[in-house]
Amino acid sequence: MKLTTRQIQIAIAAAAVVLVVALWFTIGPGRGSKLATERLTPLASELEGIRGVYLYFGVPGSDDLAAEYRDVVVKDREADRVRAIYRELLSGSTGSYESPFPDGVELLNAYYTSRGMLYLDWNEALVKEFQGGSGRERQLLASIVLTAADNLPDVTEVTILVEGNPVGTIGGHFDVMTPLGVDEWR
Amino acid sequence: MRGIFEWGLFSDATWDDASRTIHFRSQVHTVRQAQLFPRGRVTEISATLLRGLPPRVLYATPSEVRVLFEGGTLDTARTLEGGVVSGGSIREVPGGVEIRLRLNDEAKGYAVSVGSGRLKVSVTDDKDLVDAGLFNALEPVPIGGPNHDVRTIIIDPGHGGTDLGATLRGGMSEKDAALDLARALRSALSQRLSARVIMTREGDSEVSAARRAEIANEAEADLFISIHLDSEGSIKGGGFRIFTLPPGTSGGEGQRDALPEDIDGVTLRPWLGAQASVVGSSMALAQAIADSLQHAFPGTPVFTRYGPMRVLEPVVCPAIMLESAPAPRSGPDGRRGYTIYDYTRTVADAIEKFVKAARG
Repeated sequence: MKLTTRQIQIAIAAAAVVLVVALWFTIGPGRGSKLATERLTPLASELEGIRGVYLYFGVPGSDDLAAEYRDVVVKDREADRVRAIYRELLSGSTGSYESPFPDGVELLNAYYTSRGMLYLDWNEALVKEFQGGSGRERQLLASIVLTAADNLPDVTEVTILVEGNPVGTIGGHFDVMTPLGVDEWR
Repeated sequence: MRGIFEWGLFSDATWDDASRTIHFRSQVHTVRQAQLFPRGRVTEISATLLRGLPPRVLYATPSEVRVLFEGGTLDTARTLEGGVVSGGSIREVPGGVEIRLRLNDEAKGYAVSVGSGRLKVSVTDDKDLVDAGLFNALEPVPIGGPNHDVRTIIIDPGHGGTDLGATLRGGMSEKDAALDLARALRSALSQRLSARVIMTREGDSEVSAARRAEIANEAEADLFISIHLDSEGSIKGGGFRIFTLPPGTSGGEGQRDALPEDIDGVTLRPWLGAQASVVGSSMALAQAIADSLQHAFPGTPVFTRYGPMRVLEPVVCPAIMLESAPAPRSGPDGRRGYTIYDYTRTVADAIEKFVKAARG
């Protein structure tokens, strides 16, 4: 059987595609970095895992929010992962954005239910130290909810607790007694 | 596998090593490829629909039509202009996909339809189509009692007592400034409208959000305006935010499915869902005030926003929260800061115009 020039060209192209795919899975960037770390003694952070997260901060001079990408060391347990993400959010922006959180705020605990409800238990500074109008309060709540929405895909609602108890509001404008629906803050 | 995602080949997906699963950020959008088609005397906004979405007409006044397709997601936000539509948009908002059309003076009617994989919102300047029942008439927002009489307006100065609110320029508390503004607005509205104007607090007292709503509901109020202020820096160069509840609002947890109930001739409404039935009118009021502020203070940012505002949730009548961030006395662009007098006059103008439009 004699092959036509066209058939030879197709065969060469197909072989090239197979070669590229094979090379990708052999020496692609993911493979390369994995091989590199295997030769070293793993660091604690690598055992726990580094994860890229999106954190939401306030845009100065407006009530808009902007997402900042950050690598965060997270652990396997879901609650630890939530705590790590919010600890990073509380540490503030590395760029020119503003943290909507008052000084002294800490996340005490996080609970995550199978029904998609995320409970975030903050210390009392969240309410006591909050100063601002509805714009700043909206930024604060949106920062909390959108950070959950972007990094914890199963979360559909966020409930805010302060020192273990539900609160009516943070700054007097928004109702936080009822859970904050993720879709309502996107 | 992880490498493929780290390389950024799939910007909308991430690889979770622990569970060895792909998480997609994007979703299949239910509303796609929206376009405006001027077809003679009918202007049609049409989009492909991947699943049936219930339309909710938030309001359809002679100047603006706003429709929410509840639960929908949109492929791309677009601006819409042409025919009797002088400006408009389709975009995602809390609760779904919203089509908003500003209409020119010729517009007479509107129609909304959903079916066979398409949604359509049409507006016409042909009165015959309205008279024939093919289009609904565009009418002012129904507010007030019989004959659209607005008899009672509630002005709610935010915060009070130990609740200071924000700290403003010169160290003044939001609670004191809100009280000053509320008094000025009461005076302006009393002079213009033959309506009773009630304040939720007369002095520096602490009034709960629930009590403020109770005062409005007990007085069978027709409009509720909550007055707030923010610090200078919160909106660059000063400006305004007007809040309503989200358009798809239907009450709080445990009350989402609750409906008004008639017991012995008295209508009982779920407390947190009270605003749900009038949220469209609230949005129309917010837009009227926003337009007025934008016209009075060109270049000053005016935002209409949604949120679960706790003082608005239980209020039965159209209700908004109006917040102003004072402009600097003189900005780098030479723009002059607005005074309390300018502000109250503009807001009172907008409310007066809104009330008079409702009365016809």
